Amino acid sequence: MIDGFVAKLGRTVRLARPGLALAVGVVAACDPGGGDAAAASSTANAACPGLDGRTVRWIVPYTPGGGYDVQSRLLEPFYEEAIGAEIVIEHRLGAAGRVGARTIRDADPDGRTLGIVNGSALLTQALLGHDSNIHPTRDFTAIGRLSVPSPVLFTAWDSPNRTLEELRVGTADGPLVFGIVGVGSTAWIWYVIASDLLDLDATYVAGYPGTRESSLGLMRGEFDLAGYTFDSMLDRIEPGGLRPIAQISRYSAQPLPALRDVPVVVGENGLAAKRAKELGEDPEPMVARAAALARMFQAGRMVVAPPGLDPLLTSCLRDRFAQVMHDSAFIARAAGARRKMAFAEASVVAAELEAAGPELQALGAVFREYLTEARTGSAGR
Amino acid sequence: MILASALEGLQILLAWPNILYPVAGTLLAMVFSFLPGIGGVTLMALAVPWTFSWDPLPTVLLFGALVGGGTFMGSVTSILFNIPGTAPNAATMLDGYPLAQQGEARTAIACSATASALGSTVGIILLVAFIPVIRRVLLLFGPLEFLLLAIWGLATIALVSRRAVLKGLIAAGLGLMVGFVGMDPRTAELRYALGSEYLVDGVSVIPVFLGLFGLAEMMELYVSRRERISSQSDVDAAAGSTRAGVLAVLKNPGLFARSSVLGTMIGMVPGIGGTVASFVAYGQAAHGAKDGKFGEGDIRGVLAPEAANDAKDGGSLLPVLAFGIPGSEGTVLLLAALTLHGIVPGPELLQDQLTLVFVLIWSLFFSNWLTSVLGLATAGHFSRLTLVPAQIIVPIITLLVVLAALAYRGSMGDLLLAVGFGVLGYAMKVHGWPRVSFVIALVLAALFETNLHLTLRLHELDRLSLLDRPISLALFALLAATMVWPVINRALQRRRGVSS
Repeated sequence: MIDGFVAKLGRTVRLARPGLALAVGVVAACDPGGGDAAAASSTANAACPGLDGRTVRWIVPYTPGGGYDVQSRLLEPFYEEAIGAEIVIEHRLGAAGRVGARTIRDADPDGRTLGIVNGSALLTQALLGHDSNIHPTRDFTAIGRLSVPSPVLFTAWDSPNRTLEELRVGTADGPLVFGIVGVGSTAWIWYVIASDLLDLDATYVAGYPGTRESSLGLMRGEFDLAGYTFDSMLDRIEPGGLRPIAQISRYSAQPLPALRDVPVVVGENGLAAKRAKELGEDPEPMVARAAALARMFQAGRMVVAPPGLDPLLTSCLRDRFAQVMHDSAFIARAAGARRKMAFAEASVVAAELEAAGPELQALGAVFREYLTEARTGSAGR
Repeated sequence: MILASALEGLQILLAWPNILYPVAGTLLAMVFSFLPGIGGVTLMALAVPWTFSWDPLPTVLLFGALVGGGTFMGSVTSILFNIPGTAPNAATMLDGYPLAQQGEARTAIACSATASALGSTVGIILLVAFIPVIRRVLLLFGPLEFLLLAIWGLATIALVSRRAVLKGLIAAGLGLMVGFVGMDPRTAELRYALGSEYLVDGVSVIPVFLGLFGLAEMMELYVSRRERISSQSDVDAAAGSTRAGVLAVLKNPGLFARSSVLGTMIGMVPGIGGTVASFVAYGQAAHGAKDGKFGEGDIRGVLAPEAANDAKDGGSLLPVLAFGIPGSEGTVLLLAALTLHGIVPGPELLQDQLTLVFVLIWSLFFSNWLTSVLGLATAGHFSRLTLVPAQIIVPIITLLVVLAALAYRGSMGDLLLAVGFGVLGYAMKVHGWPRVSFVIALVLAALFETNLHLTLRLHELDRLSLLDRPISLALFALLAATMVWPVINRALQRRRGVSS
């Protein structure tokens, strides 16, 4: 009860701080956009049941200004128009996104609390055996998928080694060095995957404050390669910046010239299968494991509600979400902000994850093995 | 091309009604930053959705002002009530509040306003100068440089706890321990989290500052039965002097220049932020002062952190413009607002939309100066708050601290933390334990630990050489000189004493 009061007070103070009225007055008086609403959806709907004119909390589990925040803000005006409610974005930070996810999961299932979660990260944490596991589809009412990460391995543009093979040969006298934020982070997962699937002799340097900061470390030549989402590094793919060398996916992440000749890791002709063949091993297990991994990434950024939501309301929220994701105004707005969306229905994502279950468990064993090595000091420190 | 874009940017800023946006943004940022624990960053988070339907130009004008407008005002509450308006203003408390207690609040506020305006100007000049070589400059700074900066800052602890060295060192050790609470980035293992999810991400400095200084000071004011914050009772005697505050900056050009350059440099470094900038600047001021009473009301202890804190705004725009990497809390939101309007930072922006970049820079410059001019004009009025009777100010400030702790993240844990550190701060004050040592260690703990591990690991992997890094060499020489010079100086003085 106290927590509820505190949260409400925090929200109220944040929303009704002195000066806000003045701000809106002064600034709106000369609203340069004419208040048009780039935002306004081209579709007009009746409100979803029970939400007409109500306020919906939209939980973002990461910091203001980050990718989750930006995507939520892009979606906000379109989705609130579509469901007939006012959406208020609220950041619930902590524990690598688990605090925000738990806030949504534990809220009343009345449609007044929605949010976005990092589906692949929640799955990873579950596979790592961390406590407080939260599954992105089983433990929520999933509304739909907003986007998926496009993980790509990069090296420094100025590095003499321009492919994974050249890197392997070029650093034959020592391990390949990855740069990561921390053990258990997404970049660490990519290090584990690359080492495991491609049989790399690799280690890592941990402790960079964020992926963007670690990309500077890569440009400074502090390590050989690192995994980042492709979109986040778009402006750095150039001389003096970064060079993509492998896509951790089955298909090319984007039809851009920068990725034209960059090989994929997953699939029968992917780097993982080729490496297994080079080593004289059966490529099948590697292909299966790589495919499970690709499915895990497909969980992406999920829009979710608390479990136990009324079926009628669930259906409405899902339909309207799909509608917005196909709205040309929304698509144009997202493209303008260089945010690639990748809508999928909740049922499709859930089915993919269920199908990948056994292989994901096998992958989990690999993650835990690497985690143990990290903690006992036998891996990169 | 740069000059033409700069002039065009200035014309756009001054054109009607464009000028309204930076004026409104500055005034709003000032109000928000005056509310402890809330700050301009929260205002920016609120402003992102307002500007969603706007054109890019007014958005840039508004956000430039929001970044710049909040930096100075947070120092006013630091000086008057020992409560930082924002975390980067915390270093200003260390000497600003003692000055207020001595009846010099007006002098301190005027000094802060002047240092802020001039410091921001230095930051912006360096920003413009670096635009052509922006990427190369940024890549000169890596873990070794940050580690040396952190050690330099930590070395200050010896100076600020001169009167109680052992207590100061113990307090610093405690500060480091508190700074290490949370997840170890190398092994993902939890340290000192006591099974609480609240502590998984570490201890946030805002509730600690609110408690250790704000609440503790109010407890002390209440228990000591002093009549008011200022030791002076007469309005004129307690007013200090605006002129003296301005002159304090002009009389210390070397310290001002060093602090501003340091602030810009640290601002350029993504992920470090203004809090570290102001504490490191405070540290170098303490190192450089032979006669100072740092921590007891030395005006240079206000000058240095405020110059650095405002200079960092210019520096923090460098990584945003060059790589789309925010260098401070404010620029994170700036980046979000730009991205939502399709303005993607990077080389293309600098090449194709340089005028828009200058609109942002001018807006930042304008807001920094506007806040400072208003600060100078109102310094006298603000300083009178230190004369308000204790029975009125204690409950008001205590309530404000409680609300600030709750509003910060809407977490009950933050309030409990503030109260806990309030009790600790009171005990430390009463028993002569330097709180300054504790907070310097707390603020620098993450920077020190992270970069120590990175440096050692990179050295182990043969990926780092001191000799290849000119900035490190310079910092190392400076650090060695700072440490060794007092010893040599003492030896020389002893020898002179013997021979005479």
